[in-house]
Amino acid sequence: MVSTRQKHSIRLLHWILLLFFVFCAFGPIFIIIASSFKVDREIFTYVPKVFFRPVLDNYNQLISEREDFFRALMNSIIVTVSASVFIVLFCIPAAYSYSRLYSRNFKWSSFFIILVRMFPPIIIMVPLYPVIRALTLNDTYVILVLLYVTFQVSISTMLLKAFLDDIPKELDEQACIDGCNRLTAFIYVILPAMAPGIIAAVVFISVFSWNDFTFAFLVSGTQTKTTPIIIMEMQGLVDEGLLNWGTVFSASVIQLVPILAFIFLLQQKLVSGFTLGAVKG
Amino acid sequence: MIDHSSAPEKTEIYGKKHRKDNRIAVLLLVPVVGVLALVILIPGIIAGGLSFFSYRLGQAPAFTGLMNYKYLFNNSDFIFSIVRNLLFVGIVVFFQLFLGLIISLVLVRKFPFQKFWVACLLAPMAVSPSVAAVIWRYLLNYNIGPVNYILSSAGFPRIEWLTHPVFAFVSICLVYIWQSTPHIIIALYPARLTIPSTLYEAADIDGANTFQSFWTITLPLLKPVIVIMAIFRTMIGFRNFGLVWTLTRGGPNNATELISIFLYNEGFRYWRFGSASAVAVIMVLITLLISGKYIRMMQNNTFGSQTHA
Repeated sequence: MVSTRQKHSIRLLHWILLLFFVFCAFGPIFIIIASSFKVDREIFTYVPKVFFRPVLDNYNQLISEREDFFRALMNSIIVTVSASVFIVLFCIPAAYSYSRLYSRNFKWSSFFIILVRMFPPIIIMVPLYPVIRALTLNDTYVILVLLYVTFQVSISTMLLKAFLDDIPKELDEQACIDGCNRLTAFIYVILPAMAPGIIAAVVFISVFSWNDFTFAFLVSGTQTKTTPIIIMEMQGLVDEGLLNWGTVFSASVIQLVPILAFIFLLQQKLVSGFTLGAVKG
Repeated sequence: MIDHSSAPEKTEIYGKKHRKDNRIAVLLLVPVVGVLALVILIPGIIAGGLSFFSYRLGQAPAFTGLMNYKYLFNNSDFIFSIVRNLLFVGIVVFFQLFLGLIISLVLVRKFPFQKFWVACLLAPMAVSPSVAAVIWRYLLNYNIGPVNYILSSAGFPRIEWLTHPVFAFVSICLVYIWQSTPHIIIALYPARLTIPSTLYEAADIDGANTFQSFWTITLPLLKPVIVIMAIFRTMIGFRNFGLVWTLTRGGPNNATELISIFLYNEGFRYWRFGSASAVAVIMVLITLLISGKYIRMMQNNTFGSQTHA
């Protein structure tokens, strides 16, 4: 039998492990969030300052000196919103088809959908790049959105299909008896019921396009530069001593906070149910 | 493999309109299948073809047979990038699984503010590569970084984390493990929660200690998930580009040049699209080698189960 004292020490061990891992995982993020509210000389005091008076100096500097950052932020918003709209438009029909209809073509097409998802993104850029250049699509929103949608359609279709499968087919039939046809039954009955699935798919593509580095790095230029790219460029300026660490911290925090908010709001969903989330790369 | 044609409730519900359904069903797939074919499959095939040509951007491709492959396998930079990538993947996948498993098992012991702790533990996966690079280039900075500050105040020498070849490799592994372990947690933690507690109670009554029940209950039951995650994370580890590029650009002296960085340099720095395509083909072959079984598993799991509802 385990004594009470042993139980207490086991409990203590669990707490120590938990806090250690939380420190390792979240500590680095916390440090740059905190540092973005410090004046530059306080970021680098020899003994790190734990207690400090938060100031907005870095943010003010970012606003007054780096309007290109805010242009990039706008680009990221445009690209992310467009990609979300297209992913929903593309994937709902496919998911509905897989879940509710029948075709002999399902077997090869589902295999195809999963197979092409295995292609590493960067290799596709080798044959695509000359084509993109020839069509003068480089540095346009169109190509970024197209790439983001392409690399998320597989996962979104699977996700939406899983949600649709959980909606009982009796619901469709009931609606049909009540005088709906297939389309109106879908719009009035199924679509509202699958709203959580749509939100999940939108969250996935948003995180993907908001954070993407590789594609934006290869195809975006001066016009469509997204936030991760401008942050990398600002980091380069910091390395050359042309920019304060504080400024790049504040830019990073602005990029990070929306996604962090998603994680804190949706963590319950992430660890309960969408095991498909694990498949996201 | 579940045969779709034998799923009875399909034909019962929509049986009469079977022929019409078929056409609609295919039509609804067109956007997804079309965009995948246009942006991934066709370029993929073109890349396969280009790998047999000498092709620089702006010049006409010239057929050279296996020249690109010969060039690659005689190129020590390429061979080293593969070896380095294997080492990288081996290290990071091992630590991801190890840490992810421990964290999942700790989390099962429910804590006050559980949701908050889970969110904190998952947060690194939400960080963009370039922001992760900002964070870690600051933390690991030789002069002003907190990590070296802690090391030196504990009496250890400062370490050139990102500029010494060996430590730069260690650093990219560390940062990558930091960023990707949450992917393991979101798979293993829910999987562990589904193991009924009665199993552990029974083991407890039989006199098993914590380690014995871990080896005989937890590990065998989590094994399928662990295997899938190992395959999947190996595959993802092979294609990492953004994080390594923003952290070290493959340097110093190619010490962190993974295959994707080699491909980038070949194609987008030296504009040798022919040999870059050959690298791409090799990457796809490696990926398929790793994930062949996994693809079938995914298809059965997500599209095979038509017997829902």
